[in-house]
Amino acid sequence: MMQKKVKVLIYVFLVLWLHLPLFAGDEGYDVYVDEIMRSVARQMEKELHLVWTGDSGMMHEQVEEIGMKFNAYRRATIEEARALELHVINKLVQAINSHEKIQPYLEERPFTYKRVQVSISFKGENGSYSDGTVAHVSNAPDFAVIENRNKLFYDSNDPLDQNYDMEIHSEHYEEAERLVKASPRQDLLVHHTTEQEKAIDQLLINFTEEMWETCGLSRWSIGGKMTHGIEEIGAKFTAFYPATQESARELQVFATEKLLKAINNNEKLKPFLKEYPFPASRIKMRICFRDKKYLNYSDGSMESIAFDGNEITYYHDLIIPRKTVEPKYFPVRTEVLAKETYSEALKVVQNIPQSKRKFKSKTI
Amino acid sequence: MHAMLGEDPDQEERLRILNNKYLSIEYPENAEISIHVPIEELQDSKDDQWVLCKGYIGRTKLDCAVGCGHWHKLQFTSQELETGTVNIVDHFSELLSNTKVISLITYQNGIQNSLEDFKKMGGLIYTKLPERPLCIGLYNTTYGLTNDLGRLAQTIDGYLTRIICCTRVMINTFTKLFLKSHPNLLWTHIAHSEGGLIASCVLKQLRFDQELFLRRHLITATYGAVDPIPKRVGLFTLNTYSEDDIAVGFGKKYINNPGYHIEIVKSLVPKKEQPKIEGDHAFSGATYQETLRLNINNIRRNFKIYDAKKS
Repeated sequence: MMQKKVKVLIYVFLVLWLHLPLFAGDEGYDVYVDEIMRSVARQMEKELHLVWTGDSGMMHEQVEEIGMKFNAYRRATIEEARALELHVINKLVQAINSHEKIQPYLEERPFTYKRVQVSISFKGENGSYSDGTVAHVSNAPDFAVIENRNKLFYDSNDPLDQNYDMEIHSEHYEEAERLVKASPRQDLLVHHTTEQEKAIDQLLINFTEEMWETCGLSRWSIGGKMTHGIEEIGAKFTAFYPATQESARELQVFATEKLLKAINNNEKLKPFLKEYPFPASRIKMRICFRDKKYLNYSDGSMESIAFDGNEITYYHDLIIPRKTVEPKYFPVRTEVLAKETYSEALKVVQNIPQSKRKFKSKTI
Repeated sequence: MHAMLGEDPDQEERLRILNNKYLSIEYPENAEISIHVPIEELQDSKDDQWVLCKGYIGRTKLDCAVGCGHWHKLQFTSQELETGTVNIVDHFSELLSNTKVISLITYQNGIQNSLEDFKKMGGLIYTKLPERPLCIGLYNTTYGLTNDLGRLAQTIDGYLTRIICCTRVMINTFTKLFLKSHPNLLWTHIAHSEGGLIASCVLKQLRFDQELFLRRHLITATYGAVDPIPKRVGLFTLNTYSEDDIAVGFGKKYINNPGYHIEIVKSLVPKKEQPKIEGDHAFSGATYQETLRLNINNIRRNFKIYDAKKS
């Protein structure tokens, strides 16, 4: 049996490595589109430190639309994102229109901003920025649905809800162009990190590392409301172990107290805090409990715990038995198990002797 | 060697893989898929509920999952009320829009995914779609890691495995229906890992009229695909790989191939937190979930997703 498994694995290894592309590009313009994108990517990396991550487009019998995606490893305000987006769109359009060999294949000549799509994501050490600044800017070209056609979209992230983008602003391309022409500052293309941003970035990096080392919490997203001072801090974590309500409570209190201590003891951050000392009511957190395959523990233990507005909510999964199907097909629903205020939870944890706590802390 | 799709494909498939029998499966040209959902589940379902159910191709049974925010539009026949199950494929006219919006999302998982993993994958896609269009998943069964890798190698070698066969029947059935009654509809297919290879194989082997239709109506998004989908087969094709994904090599092979849209994204999961062998391959992990969210948002802005509540 072992020999047979080894043979299968060797066979698989050979097939996978010798595998040739099954479907090479077969249209004449493919190579030219590639040349254009590579030259723009090189230029953008050199000028603006934008990293080209991928491309998109609609190309069938002719080239209908060309798209490029970039990462920028810095923050951006709406003004900066607008200037950057327009700059890249213009460079891409110029490159397309000056490439002689692709001209016969373009569906429209000359190509304009209406036929290109550029998206730029702004990322930091903690992943995409989720602090009220622009996490993502993109344009919708001419083929998009009529209400979005030729518009620019500026999205932010909510650190607690990663299912949807939060659109913070949108505008027509021509309006964006007018605004950029009205304030043509070259330095808009690069973001200058503020003292607040430096301080909070370092604090959050240290906090997420500490949470992984001490509690095995893997950071999913972290940020908050920080455009006008530090108003709120939010974070979503995954714990790859099951938890009872009691251990989930202890974990939440431990993480919150650690974060509050880090914030309130940070002299560099103090001038930027909306309130000092920074209270627990300005912290939002969600901790999801999953196995190594990111599946819920549908065994009565916690599905997740959410801390928001000074209230902690405990969620668990309920299996709904059905007579007509086998148990593996039973539907599962996530429901609220219990709720309590943060101060109630803190009191309960404080009453647990240090020796019996799962997460030890001198300050709780 | 060839064989027909049998009655107990699981058992047959296990024997084939275990005995290293490399043979292609055939199916009748007019084979169609039906997806039977218990009416009790639909009547009881909440807005975000994902329902496991059975699909059938002839007598071959498949595991599927469905979700929809407008089950109330279904008009059950008396026979369906009597049997307690409804074949939702018969009710596409009630569940799908014939305008140029995305009314159908289908998805497929990769290797070594339990039924629970498959259901989770669907749930993660569904929660990013507040419009709650009709979503259908076709489960790619696991036979254990070694056997799944063996199946993968057979597919790359050109053999038509059972799951390719079944997925092709599903795409055939849907495309035939749409050509007749929903010629304007848009359809998105999402695939992870081996699911990308299956989709890639199926989409390159369609009839000419189906291929033409899908070129203008199908949007695909793959994550860590063993074989990415070429841009020519769909209206809009996206293939994303995390730079720390064990499967990134499959994407890098095509990075200089202008026939493909390949995106390689920075991993959001620190290296020390990644599984040692597969790296950042999990569909449910932070990297692919963020990219999925961005892709769905992009697709929504460009094409619009059917929201039955607003129509």
